[in-house]
Amino acid sequence: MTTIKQKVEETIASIDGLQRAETNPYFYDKIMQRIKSAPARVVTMKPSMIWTAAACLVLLFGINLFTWIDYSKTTNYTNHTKTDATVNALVKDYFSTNNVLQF
Amino acid sequence: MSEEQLITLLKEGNPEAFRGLIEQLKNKVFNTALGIVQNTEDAEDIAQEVFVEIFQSIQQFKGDAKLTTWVYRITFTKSLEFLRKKKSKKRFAFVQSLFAGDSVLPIEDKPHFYHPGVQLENKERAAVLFNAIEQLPDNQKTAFVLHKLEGLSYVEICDVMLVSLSSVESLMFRAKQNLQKLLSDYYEKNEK
Repeated sequence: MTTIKQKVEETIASIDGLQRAETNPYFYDKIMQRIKSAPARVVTMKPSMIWTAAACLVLLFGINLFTWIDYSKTTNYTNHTKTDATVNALVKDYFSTNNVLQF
Repeated sequence: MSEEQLITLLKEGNPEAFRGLIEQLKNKVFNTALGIVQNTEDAEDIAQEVFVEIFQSIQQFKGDAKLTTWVYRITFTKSLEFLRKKKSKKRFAFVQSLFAGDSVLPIEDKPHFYHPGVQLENKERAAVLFNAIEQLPDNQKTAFVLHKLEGLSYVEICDVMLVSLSSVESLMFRAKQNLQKLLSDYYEKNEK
C-alpha cells in the first residue's frame, strides 16, 4: 500500500517544473487568416444610442396616451348618449311585435 | 507600455498592438487549452479561436479585470465548450452505430497524452496523471490546470473563474482527492 501511495504522490509531482509547450511558428499568420475569413459580426449599438431610442419610444407612447385621454374626455359624453340611443332603437326594434313570426 | 495603453491601442485596431498581445500571451493560452483538451492540434485551434474572439470583442472589454485574466477566461470557456461538443459528437456517433446495425463500436481506450513540456524521466507518470485529470469534473479540471500547469495563484483563479476564494480552495481540495483516488485505482489495477 505504501508503494501505491508513493507512486500516486510521485505521479502528481511529475508535472512540477513542466516546460511550456511552444505554438506553431505560423501561429500569428493563421490567426490573421482566420480574422480575414471570419464572417462579419453583427454591429452592436452603443449604450447612448439605446437610451436615446428608449427615450424616443417613451415620449411617443406618452404623447399618444395624453392625446387619447384628452380625446376621450371631450368625446366621452356624446359618444355614450349616441351609443345608448342606437342600442335603445335596436332593442325597441327587436322586441317589436311586428317582427314576431306568426305560425 | 502599460496595460491601459495596450487596451486603448487594441480598441483602436492597432495591428502592432494586436501582434504584441499575441506574442505575449500565445503560450499561456496554448498551454491552458492543451492542459484541458490534451491534444496539440485541438489546443492550437482553440488558441487561434481565442485570439480571434479577443480581436472581435475587445470593444466590450470594460477593464474591470486584468487583460490576462480576461484572456484566460475566454480560453477556459472555449476549451470546455470544445470538450462538450466533442462528447456530444461521440454520443451521437455511438447512438448512430447502434441503429446502423452492422456492429457496435468498441469502447476504445484513449491513447495516453504526452505533454511536450514534461521532462523525459517523468513522461510516463505525467501521461497517467493527464489521463486522470481528464476524468475530473470540468470546474475541478480548470482550477487544477490553472494552478498546477499555469502557476496561477488561488486569488488569480478566483478572478478567472468568477468564483470565491473558498470555492477555489474547495475545488482544488476535491480535485487532489479525486486524482489520488483515480491514481490509486489505476496502480492497484495495474499491479495485479
